[in-house]
Amino acid sequence: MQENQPKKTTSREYHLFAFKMLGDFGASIAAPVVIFVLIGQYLDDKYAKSPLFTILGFVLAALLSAKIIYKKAKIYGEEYKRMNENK
Amino acid sequence: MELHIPTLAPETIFHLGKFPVTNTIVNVWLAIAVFIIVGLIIRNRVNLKPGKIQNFMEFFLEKLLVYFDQVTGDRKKTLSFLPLVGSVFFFILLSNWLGLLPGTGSIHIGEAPLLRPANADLNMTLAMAVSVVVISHIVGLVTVGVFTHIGKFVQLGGLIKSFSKGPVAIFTAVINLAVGFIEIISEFAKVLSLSLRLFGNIFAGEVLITVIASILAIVLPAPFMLLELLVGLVQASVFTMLTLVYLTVMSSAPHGEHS
Repeated sequence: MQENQPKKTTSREYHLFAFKMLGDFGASIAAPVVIFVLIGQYLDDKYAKSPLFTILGFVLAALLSAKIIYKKAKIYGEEYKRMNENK
Repeated sequence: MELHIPTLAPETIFHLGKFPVTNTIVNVWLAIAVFIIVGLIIRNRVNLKPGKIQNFMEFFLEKLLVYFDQVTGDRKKTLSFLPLVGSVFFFILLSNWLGLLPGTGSIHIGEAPLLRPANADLNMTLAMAVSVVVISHIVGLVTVGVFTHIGKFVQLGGLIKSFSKGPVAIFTAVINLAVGFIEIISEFAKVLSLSLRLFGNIFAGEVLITVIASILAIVLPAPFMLLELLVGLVQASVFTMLTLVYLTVMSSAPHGEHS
């Protein structure tokens, strides 16, 4: 009978879940910033508009990161609920 | 309005012979100097009845050990990995926080700022990521043995053995061989994700603070700097924990080897 019951969530799993989430969110912030700032700095150099395109790229990256993190947070929220149910 | 947005690549301040010294290297040297000074002070004052500094450091270390245990699941393993992951953690944390010192990005030598957070340099984070992944493989080679470790990636042994077991076993072994190659690619992905995550976050923070400070230099950057304190800590712990996960995974035998 024991085998059919859901596995209990341990404190270690909560910690690993937290770090997985932090790592994922971190990457979601980092990747757009690096890409957009790279494009922004290239355009600034090309059109001599420094720092207009870099700032624009930065703002766009921030918006994109926010959207990605919002989506991911919802998924993680559900996963967290499932973990709590198995507590 | 003159605004010095940090460029993606660090700026060279001067040359030592042919070696270009960038502003991020200055930050690294500062962090190393702090570590050497604090290390020497603590070493000279180590006592069974700890003083203030020793107590403070032991408190941090004990907190860290508890978190590390959550990943390794074994205090022995934690203690053997501690010199590497502990150093990585404190180094990243200190160099991130040093980037918040007044003067970072604002004191200039010629066109280039004198100080720039060490991890806002992809060379730095890439070097650390490559180092920890290579070290994790060395740990794997030493702890589980050369053939077992290589067997995690190139599963030729299973393929040879499968010839005597029939077509289904051969098919499974071929799939395992392909999975092994994907594992090799994932090792490169580890380096890429570790280095880009840390670099991107610290670089984004530096750009953010520069832009905010150019809008209003007083009071306004304070909440963002507080946020950066948190980001510095979080990114240091993420890098460290992932390093620890890699070390733990590499030092454990692959599935099916236990029996």
